[in-house]
Amino acid sequence: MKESLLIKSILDGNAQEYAILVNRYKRPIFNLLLRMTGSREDAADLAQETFLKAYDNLESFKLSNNFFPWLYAIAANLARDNWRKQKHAASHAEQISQQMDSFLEEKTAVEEQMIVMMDTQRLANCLNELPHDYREALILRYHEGLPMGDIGKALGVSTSGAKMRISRGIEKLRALFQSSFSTSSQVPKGK
Amino acid sequence: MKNKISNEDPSIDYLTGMIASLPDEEPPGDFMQAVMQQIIPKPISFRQRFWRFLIAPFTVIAIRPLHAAVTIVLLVGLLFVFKTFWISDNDYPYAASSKNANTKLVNFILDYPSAKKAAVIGSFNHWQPEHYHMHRNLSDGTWQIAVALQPGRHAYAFIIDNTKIIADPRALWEQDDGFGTRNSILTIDNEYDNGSSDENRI
Repeated sequence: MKESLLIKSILDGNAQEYAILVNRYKRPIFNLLLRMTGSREDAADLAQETFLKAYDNLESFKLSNNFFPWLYAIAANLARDNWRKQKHAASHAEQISQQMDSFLEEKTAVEEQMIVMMDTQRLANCLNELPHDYREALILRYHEGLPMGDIGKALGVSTSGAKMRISRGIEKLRALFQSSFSTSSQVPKGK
Repeated sequence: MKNKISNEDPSIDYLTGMIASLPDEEPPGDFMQAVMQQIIPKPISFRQRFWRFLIAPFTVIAIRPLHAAVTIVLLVGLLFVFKTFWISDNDYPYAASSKNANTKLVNFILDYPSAKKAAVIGSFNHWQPEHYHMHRNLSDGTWQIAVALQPGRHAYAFIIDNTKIIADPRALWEQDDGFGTRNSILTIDNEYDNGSSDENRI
């Protein structure tokens, strides 16, 4: 079902259809908040708050736009507010490391597994080292596959601003990744 | 996952490929339930409901050809009845106005065989010929119309073929209208004593 029609139907009183949107976007929103808070519990609470806030403000959503960038912006704002309250951001590096164990179980070539695991963990650590805006721009572009315009809307910047963040983010990530080989014994801790 | 070994000078493709492959975590199992149990259907204002009713597409109902044919016949019948009454009420003004107990039915008769059309105009119809067209009597060729008139003094004339206005040659009284045309005068009292021998004939 086309997203704009779905949202129209929800606004017409078919509240149960909101479950389709929750199901469609709960995973990327939860993971965004997990990256920003470092806590599954906080991420789940904030993700829940995100969907409720989005529902409360659904009338203000422009049906010609895509829903996900709008939802993402709400989630990011809530996470920032939460971060200001808590005055800290937990590192997610350890959790990424734990994920790698289960994620890589299905791989067959042990040697390749090891290399990939090391690189993936390194990359996760490097991403965590990046400033939030660069990290989220890269995640939205290469992990969620969003077009530049939607990334701009999600991050509250213009399309050219989104392109610049991605370009600079990649360069920073590359530099961090390269430097991680010289300090491979150390695991970066948070921002 | 790209099949590329670790190196110290990663390409952009390698990095972006790895970002794409980063594992996501699943939200808690009861997440959906926790959200949806707090979702309350949005109240819709009358204005919103009305607007959505206006812009919502309608589904055309299925109809049997036989039913459609019967419906058309009924509609044509209704149209015929309506048109009949409509003509009666408008082409024969007395039919409507005769409901007034004080009105008197007056037959206007004009002997003008060369006319193709004739109508009576007067103070009782504001000198407008619409709905006061006369009908030719096939037996003697005269033009006639019956009009219900209130008691009182009425000025009138005939209009021939929509162009020529003449006074009634049979009228007992005439007067100048101030514009060079003479109008006939008809006086009706409650007993209809107009000096005429025929109550319904002028």
